[in-house]
Amino acid sequence: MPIASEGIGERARYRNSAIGLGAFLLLYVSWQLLGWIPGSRQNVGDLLLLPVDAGAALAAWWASRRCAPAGALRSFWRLLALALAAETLGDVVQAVYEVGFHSSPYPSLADPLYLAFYPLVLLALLRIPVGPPTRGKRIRTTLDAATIVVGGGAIVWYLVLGPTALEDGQSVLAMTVSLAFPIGDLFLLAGLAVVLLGQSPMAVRGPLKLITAALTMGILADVLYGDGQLHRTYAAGDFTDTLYVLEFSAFALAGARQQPQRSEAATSAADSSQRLSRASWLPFVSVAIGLGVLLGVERSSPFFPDVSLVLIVIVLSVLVGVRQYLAQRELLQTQAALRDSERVKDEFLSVVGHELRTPLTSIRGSLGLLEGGVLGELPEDAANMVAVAVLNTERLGRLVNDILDIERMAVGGLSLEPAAVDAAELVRQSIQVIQATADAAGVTLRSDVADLTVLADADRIVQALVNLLGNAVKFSDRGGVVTLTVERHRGGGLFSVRDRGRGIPADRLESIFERFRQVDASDARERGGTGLGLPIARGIVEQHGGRMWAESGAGAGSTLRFSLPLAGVDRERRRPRPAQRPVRV
Amino acid sequence: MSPRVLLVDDAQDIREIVCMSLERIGGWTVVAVADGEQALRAAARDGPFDAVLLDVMMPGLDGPSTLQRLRARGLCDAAKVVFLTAKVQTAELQRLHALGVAGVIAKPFDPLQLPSQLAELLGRRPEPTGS
Repeated sequence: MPIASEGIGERARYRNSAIGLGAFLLLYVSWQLLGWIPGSRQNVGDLLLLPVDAGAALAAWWASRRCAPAGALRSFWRLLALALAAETLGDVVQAVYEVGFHSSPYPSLADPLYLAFYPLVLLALLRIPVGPPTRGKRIRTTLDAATIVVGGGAIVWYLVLGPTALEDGQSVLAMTVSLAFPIGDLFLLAGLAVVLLGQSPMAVRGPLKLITAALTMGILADVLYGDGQLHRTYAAGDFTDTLYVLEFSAFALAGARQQPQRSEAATSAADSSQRLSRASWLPFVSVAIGLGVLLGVERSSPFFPDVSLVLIVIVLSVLVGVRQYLAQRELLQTQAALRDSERVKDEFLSVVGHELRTPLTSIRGSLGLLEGGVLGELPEDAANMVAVAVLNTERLGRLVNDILDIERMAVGGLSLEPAAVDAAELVRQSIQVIQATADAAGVTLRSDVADLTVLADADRIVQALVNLLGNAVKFSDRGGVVTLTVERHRGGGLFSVRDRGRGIPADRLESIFERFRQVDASDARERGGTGLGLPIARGIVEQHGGRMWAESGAGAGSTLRFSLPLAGVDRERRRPRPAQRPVRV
Repeated sequence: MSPRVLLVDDAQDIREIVCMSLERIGGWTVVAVADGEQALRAAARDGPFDAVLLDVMMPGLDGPSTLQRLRARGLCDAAKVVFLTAKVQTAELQRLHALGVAGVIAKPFDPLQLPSQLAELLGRRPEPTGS
């Protein structure tokens, strides 16, 4: 079956499940609010919870069959299905008591089944693989889980455990069972935190969101249930049961949400590229809620002395503080490692450049001596061949420099040393470099420079200008004129290089800045460029915080412009340092 | 008397090319050696030189270390030092300039221009071609 239609089928199944469940919930809530069928509340409540639980168990079972055989996700869904089946059996027992015998003993045989739900779900959650287990990550996840459990525990203790434990006249069994539910919730909370904070496989992300929603409602329901049982206010079919219905509906939807998994390997491959879990804010939310409840609700309660409040606040603060410290340290380490790797790459490129230039030096030197007649006059044909070799060796040298510059930009940028420099000085140096080339091509260079100071790395901007001027000279006819102007424009310096050559077609104005993309593919060879001059020039300008673009009417010449930030007004105006770039001869 | 240059470069071909260029075109006298240790011995034995042309990347003593030892032993007080390097990054060139040398020449270079280039760095008039 084609993958695309499989995906659509999956979405349709999930959508249909959601619509069906939504309709059911609407009916359920309407029934509860409107009190249809008077006196039916308890029986109908029990009977309605039963199909929801059973449906959730079946959905989880089906989800397990869509996962890779013998994979971690398959056993997760199987354990979850088992937990939901235990819950369903509990419902059956409870319904038999209430509907069959019209009695609701507490605790009853249903409670061990209900309680089995907690360890089974916890085991299931812990089967979900959570990313590469580095030591630092394990420690942070543990701390986060501890924060969530302490924060959540404070709420549960205050609302349920404390009152239950201090209640007089309860049987030991009833009290133990009442306490077991919220304690089970705390363990689930911890397990869920570990999964959500780790890097869970992409395939289970969607279902996990629904399971999180389910467990949130379950915990809320358990708190109300414990409180209700304690004060004898709980009755089947009331709001607490609505929460249970919502919980198990969400479980059922989660099962339907599980996408078919082609293989375990596909899951882990997708995992390596995934970003960090967004759930890292969870501990803070739990702390905020915990503190809010602790500080907001009455503090003079007999089972909740102020001392414990202070202790809990201290514990939470320490946990969050240590957690933040660890995260910060890891961030700094990552940044340092990144800088190191950039430095290593830069060093590598520098060595590559050296290794390529060394043989070029020998070739260029030998050819130069031959060409200059130092070793005796060459026959005319031989002299022509040597001249061709010299030209191409020089081109190869430029290509090496340009490719290394492009690579440096890709690795981590060129190391710039911006200073306040006179635009006129940049123009003077650039024209000095390109003058010989222009003379040889019979092209006149003109410049018109406003008096302004830009913030720039002089050597690099001269390199960019030389590339632009070289490009303009190359595409000018003999007798042509290339004009370089610098003017103030929108609070920056605007450099423009205009030629009267054949121009650039409108649809190529951007692509000339791509690597090895000249307007005509044969240009690179005929005109002797490397095809990297303009991309490098643009890279240099962009690294200065400027912009470079081309303007042209085909046939009417072209203008390449770039902007540079002006040096601050209060900055001391400085002459550029003397060009440290050695003159290449 | 023609100016005397001490050339230090580990690459045999480059020593040959530089010798030919400086001697035949520039009319200089060149003493060529292959590493820093030999440079120290040559400077002590055949000095003083008018100029020292130093490769930067060499096995054993590299260019800057050789310069340091030459200076420490007072062997290049009269000579102007010029580095020859195939590493042409700005940061690298700045590092070399900071050592207080007369100049840096990038590889690859044009052997026909090398004598006049060197003469310019040393503040001399280019010598007439041929000796």
